[in-house]
Amino acid sequence: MTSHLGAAASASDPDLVAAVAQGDEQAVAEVYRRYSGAVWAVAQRVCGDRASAEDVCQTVFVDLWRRPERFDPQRGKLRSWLVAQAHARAVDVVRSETSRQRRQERAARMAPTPPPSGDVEAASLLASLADHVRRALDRLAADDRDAIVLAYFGGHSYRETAALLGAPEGTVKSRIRRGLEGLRRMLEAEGVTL
Amino acid sequence: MSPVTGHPRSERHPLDNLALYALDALEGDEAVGVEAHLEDCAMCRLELAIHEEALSALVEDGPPPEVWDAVQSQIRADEVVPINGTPLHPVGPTPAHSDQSAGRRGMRRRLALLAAAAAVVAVVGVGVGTQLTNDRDGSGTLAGVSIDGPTVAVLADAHGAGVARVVGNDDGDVLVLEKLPPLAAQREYQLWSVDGPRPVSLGLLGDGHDEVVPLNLPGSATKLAISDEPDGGSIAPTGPVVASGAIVRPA
Repeated sequence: MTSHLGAAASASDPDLVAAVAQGDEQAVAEVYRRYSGAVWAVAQRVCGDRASAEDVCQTVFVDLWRRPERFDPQRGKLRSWLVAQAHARAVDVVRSETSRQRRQERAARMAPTPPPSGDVEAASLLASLADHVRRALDRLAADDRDAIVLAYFGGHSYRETAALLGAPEGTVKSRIRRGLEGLRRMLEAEGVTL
Repeated sequence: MSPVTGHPRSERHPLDNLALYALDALEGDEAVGVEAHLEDCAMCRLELAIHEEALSALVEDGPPPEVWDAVQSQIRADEVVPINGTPLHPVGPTPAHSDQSAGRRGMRRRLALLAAAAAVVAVVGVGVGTQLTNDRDGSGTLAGVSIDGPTVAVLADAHGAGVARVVGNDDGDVLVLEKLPPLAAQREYQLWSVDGPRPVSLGLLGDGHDEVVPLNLPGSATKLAISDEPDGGSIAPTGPVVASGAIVRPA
C-alpha cells in the first residue's frame, strides 16, 4: 500500500501509529526500523532462545499492525509500550508449561548439582546486560536489584523470585517497588524524561 | 507520595502490586485485581506507564532482528478482498481462538484501549453466537428480549432487501436477524463495523436463524456489515458480505 506519510523516517511516533491505523505498511516498517532492536533485545533476554524471541518479535509488530489503537500516545512512549508488549509476551512464553519442562530438563542434564540460587541466577543475568544497564542497576541496593533482575530479565513471578531469593513474598514486593522507584529517580536525575 | 507522579500512598492504590505488574511478575487473581483497579484509576495508569518507561531504559537498542520478512508476509496475508472498494485489514477485537499467543497478558493489553476508546472503534459487547429459538410471540419481544424500540439501521442484501435490523431500545441496541440465507456447513455469520479503512469485528452471529443479539455499539460505529465466515470467525472479512447498512438514530 502506498504510504500516507510523506517521509516516514521523519514522522513522529504518534503520526507513524496513526498511519499504521490507516493501513500504511511503510509506517509499520519505520516503527520496526526504530524499535525492533529493543523489542528483540528484551524478547531474547527473557525467552533465552532465538526461536521464541523471533516469535515474540513478530507477534509484537503484527499486533501493532492489527490493533494500532491499543497504543495510546497520551499514556506513554511508543518504545516503552512496545518493550512492555514484548516483555509480557516473552514472560508468557517462559511461563508456559512446556517451556518450564524444557528448562527443568535442560537444567537437570547440564547441572548434576542443585540448581543455582537466586543470587547466582541474578548475577548471571546481570553479567549478560550491557555495561550502562549493569552500572545503573548496580547503583540500587543489592537486594532490590536482584529482585528486579530476576523478575524482569528472568521472567519470574514475584512468588518465584521470593522462593529463589529465600525471602518472604512481602519483602520481595517491597524490594521490587523500592528498586523500581530508585531506578526512576536515577533515570530522571540523568535527564531521561519519564 | 510516589516520587514521580505524586501518587498518594493510600490503601486504595495497590502500589506494590502495580510495580510487580509492570514487571509482569503478578499472576492470576492478583493481576486481575490490578487490572480492575487500573480501569478506574487514571493515576495508576500513569504510574504504570512511568514504570514501563523506566524498565524500557534497561533494554538496549540492538540491531533489528532479521524477522521483518516474516512480519511483512503476515501483514500482507492479512490484506483481503475489498468490500465496496474499501480496502480491508484486520483490526480490533478478534475471535479468541485466533489470538492464542496473547495468553494471560491479553487482559493487561486491553487496558490500552481505555484511553483510545473515544477515538477509535474498539471492543463492543456482541453476544457471540447467541442461539435463540424461533419463539417470536408478537408481543414485541423475541426470546425474551424486547424489540419495541425504533429501528435505527436496516442491513440489506445485494438486492436491497432488508435481512437484519438494529433496534434501538432504551436499554441498548439489539440486532434482529430476520432473513439471512442459510449457511453451508461449518460457516457462520460475523458482524463488522466498516466505518474506517479496516473493518472491525463486532462478534460472531452463529447461523443467523431468527436470532436477536444484544449489542453495545461504540458511538463511532455507523456502518455495519455481516459476512459469511468459517466457523469461529475471521480476523478480517474473508467471505461474501451478505448484508450492510448504516445506523441512523432519531434526533
